[in-house]
Amino acid sequence: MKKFVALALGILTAIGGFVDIGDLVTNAQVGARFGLSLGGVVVIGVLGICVFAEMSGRVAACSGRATFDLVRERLGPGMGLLNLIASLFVTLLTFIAEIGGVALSIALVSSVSEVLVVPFIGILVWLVLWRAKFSIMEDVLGLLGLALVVFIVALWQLGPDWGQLVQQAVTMDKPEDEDWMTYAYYSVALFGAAMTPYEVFFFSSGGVEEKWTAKDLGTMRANVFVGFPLGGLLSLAIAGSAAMVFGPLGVEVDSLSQVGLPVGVALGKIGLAFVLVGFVAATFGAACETGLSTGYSLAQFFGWQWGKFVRPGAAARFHLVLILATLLAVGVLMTGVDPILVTEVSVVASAVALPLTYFPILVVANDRDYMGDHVNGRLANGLGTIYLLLVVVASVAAIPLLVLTGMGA
Amino acid sequence: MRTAVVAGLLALSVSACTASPADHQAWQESADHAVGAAITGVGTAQVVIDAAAQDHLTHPYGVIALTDALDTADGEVATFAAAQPPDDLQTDHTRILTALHEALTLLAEVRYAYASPGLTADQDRELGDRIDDELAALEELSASLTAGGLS
Repeated sequence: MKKFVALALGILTAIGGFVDIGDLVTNAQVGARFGLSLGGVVVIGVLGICVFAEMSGRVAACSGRATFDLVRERLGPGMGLLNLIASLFVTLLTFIAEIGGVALSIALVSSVSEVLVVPFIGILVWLVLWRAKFSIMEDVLGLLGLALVVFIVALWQLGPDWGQLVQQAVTMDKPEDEDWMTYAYYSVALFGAAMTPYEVFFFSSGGVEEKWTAKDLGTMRANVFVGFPLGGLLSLAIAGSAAMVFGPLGVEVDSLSQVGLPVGVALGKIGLAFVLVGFVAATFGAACETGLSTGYSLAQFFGWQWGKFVRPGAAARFHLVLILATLLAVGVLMTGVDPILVTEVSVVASAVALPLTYFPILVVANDRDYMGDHVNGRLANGLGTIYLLLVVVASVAAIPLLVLTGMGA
Repeated sequence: MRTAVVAGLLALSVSACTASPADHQAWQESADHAVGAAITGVGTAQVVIDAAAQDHLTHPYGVIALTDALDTADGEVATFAAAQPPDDLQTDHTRILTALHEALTLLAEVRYAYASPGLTADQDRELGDRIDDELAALEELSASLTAGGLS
């Protein structure tokens, strides 16, 4: 019974913790402009993150060590440093976007300007990173993030033509008034949002924090292969709701307040309350995950003591990185920069950095010295190779598409 | 040789700072974008007002959604207004700017009225009708632009 509860809790938190500010904004933007015609990209992205999260979780469970720890050792300091720089840049950008997302969510409840709220959120995030137990942080925020399931209910209530939605997604039916370049740009942005690098660092480091062993592989796989796809369903529901409410009016999504509006339209104030709880939990949870990921990546690369499973005093440099990252995020947001703009840049930057993140994981998961009998099989390698090609294409195309489309304008 | 390169770079920098007219295609794209932003703002206001009329939104949420809509549209319109149009499109430019300013004024009115003291049923209907008319006008403008011009 205890094992079943742990399994269910893991799956539920994986669903609730799947969506972050990048998913919220990008899916709503895409839904409003393209309907569900880019739904296939979400499905491909979710399968991709499942493939690599399973790999990195397996690496953590079998070797007892996290990704960066092994990347430097297995691929050398040069490749490790390149991997570190790219991933750290994207993760920091995502961290800024997530804290900005929490501020925007709080502003929707309180009417207080997000710039004024940012310092308090920075302190709160840092306090959680410093004091809260890893499992409590993950479970509480993941479960509260489940409030976003309200998007699925809202989509149902809005009464779409399900056949048409499915047809749009399956045939990738681009609206006539959109050009292929913009369509491709948003495909890359959605792919980047679904496969954000920090997710695998956090997942593998979390496995070490929670002391996974080979016995936990079943639970880990259930979290990944059940929880993540159901989280992906939330992404599709966000896009579908935006398509239903904004699509017919020709309205584009530029703000977080617009992302939640379809739920208010469909379900009223109670639905809106769920949305607000979900927004705060999803962005706050992701802020904690990205914050920790900055500390994890630096500490693991340089061989410092890290993690929340040791006392803060024993991992002083790790906690110093968390403080500096939080100060940087707060400082950037206090300039008044639009968090939605930071989010849009961060998802494209994610796409650019994807090969540097995922290639080393594929290499380490194939090393029998670390993995023993749990080394990658044919299926994992086949899927891993296909996805590596896809992430290379997305990475190469991201910047030219960003420039040519004026960020999808 | 070095002096010539520096002089060339300086000339290039200075010419980049002058307000030379945009070419037709750049102006068209900029106009499309600004009209699209106005449609987004007014369309969002329509969703907010309709939902508020059914008591589906909390007041702070509605105010922020309207403020965001106004801010975004305002920024895009300001960018379009600051650009120098091609000489033969100045009349079209002025016509579009007038339409965009009407849309912004309506958005501001809706936001003020909704934020405080709040909308009565009559005001709600009246503003709703004006929003519908404004949206229709903007969509017509957008369609004309897409078709190749206003004249």
